[in-house]
Amino acid sequence: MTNNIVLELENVRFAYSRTPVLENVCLCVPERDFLALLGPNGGGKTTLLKICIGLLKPEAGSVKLFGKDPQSVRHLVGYVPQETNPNAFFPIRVIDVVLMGRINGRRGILKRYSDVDHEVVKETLKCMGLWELRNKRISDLSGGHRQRVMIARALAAQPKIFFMDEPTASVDRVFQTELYELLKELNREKTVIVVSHDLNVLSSYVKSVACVNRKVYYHSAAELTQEMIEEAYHCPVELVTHGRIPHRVLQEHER
Amino acid sequence: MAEFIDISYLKLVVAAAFLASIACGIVGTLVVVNRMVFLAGGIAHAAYGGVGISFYFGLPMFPSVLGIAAVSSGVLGFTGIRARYRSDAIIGAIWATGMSIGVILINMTPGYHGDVMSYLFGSVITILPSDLLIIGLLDLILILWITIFYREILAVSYDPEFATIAGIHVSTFYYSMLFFCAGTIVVLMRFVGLILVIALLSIPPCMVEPIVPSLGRMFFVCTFLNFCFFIAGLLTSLWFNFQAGPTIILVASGTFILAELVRRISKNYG
Repeated sequence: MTNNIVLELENVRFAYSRTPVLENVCLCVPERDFLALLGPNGGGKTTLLKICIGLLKPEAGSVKLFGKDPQSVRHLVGYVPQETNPNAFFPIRVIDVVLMGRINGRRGILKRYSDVDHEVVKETLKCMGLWELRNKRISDLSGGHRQRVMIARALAAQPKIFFMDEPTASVDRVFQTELYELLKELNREKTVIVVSHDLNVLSSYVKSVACVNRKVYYHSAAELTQEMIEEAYHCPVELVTHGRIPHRVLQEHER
Repeated sequence: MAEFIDISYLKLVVAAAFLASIACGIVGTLVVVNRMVFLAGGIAHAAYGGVGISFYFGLPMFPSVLGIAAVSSGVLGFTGIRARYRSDAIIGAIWATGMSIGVILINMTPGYHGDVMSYLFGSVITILPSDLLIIGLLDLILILWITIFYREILAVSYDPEFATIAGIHVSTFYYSMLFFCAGTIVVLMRFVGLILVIALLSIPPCMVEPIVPSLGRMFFVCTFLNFCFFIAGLLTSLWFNFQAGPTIILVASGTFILAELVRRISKNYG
């Protein structure tokens, strides 16, 4: 029964300084879930994502990714960071950034990228509409294109699970839809976890929603009706929250 | 007249300059793209403590300076990883502490120390054939390192977070970079001295960073530029009878300023 749970967090607590960002977080994500993480700024969405992939270590509690310590299964993870400009003026071309996705850990020293790697990267670049820009320096690209490069790098890794931190924050509508269509297709085999504020676009793709605001409330597919999500069309996404606010879309959590 | 006496020595200096350019081109590139110029400055100045130790305890110069440079780069690397936001203040502290230790130890050593200046500002006349071997060895290690781990070094430098997820041991590469930086600084001490070394590590990469397409290309172009600066600087210093170290630096910075002016003008009228 637990064999199809890919991500399991138990009583996770994390703090950067004294006030905890996350507390008593429990989360179980089944295989092939398409999970949207929602929540206000400072609610801990990015922190949660980083804990899931082992970039941050929780102060208490346990994290299991594919039943193991996240650090040991990093080769199965595709990560799109929120920051699309890690080193703005770095002399590197688009194609080299995407090739980086093919490193995937322990593949032996002196190993060059194989023909398969180049083929995968070519496909990914074409798919992301970046093939014509492949030899451009990353610093010459617009913010939207840079974000596509970050997504392409994660796709090129061909991971089993995607963690995307606001992957559509700076891309146009057309690409946004394209990306979600692609993720929907990938979702047939892979698990997708995405932090996003565009719930109205996301609503037709996600299978479940988790609300992150120091604690995490998971709403599975069964609980989440199309109707409930559609209601989000009528109000700003920030209002998708719990308790006192009148625009409540999700069922209230039991304490 | 002096030239033909010096011709075999000049050959030695040119060979040493060529080998030093390689180390300087590789390490300078990594230092600049990883935004660690200040850190490199800290290592270079703290290494002066090694000069003091060598004087006071009568130890050989090269290993003492290298030892102190390596220790301080280790400490700086540790603080850089553990408390990144505090690291620039800690660099400042180590920078001055190392130099102070050097000065005090030299004060405590009896006798006249006129040659202390040569460690601060360089003195090409102190280059020995054995130095060629040391610089050559450093080049060999550096070239092997960047050839074997090019993908990893690129990933770590461009996006350490992603490199971590890709399963690369980021801190190992970070420490290696710092240790190689320490080694290169000590090697360059002969040419330009500990105080001036930072210019040679930062000027060529700073000039070419906006125009090269890759890190690999940057290594080559910086090596070439460094060699040009060395030769032009050495010739100028011979001609005017200036000290070689500062002359090399002024040739480099003069070229930098000129190139920057040309770039700006051509941008406005192009």
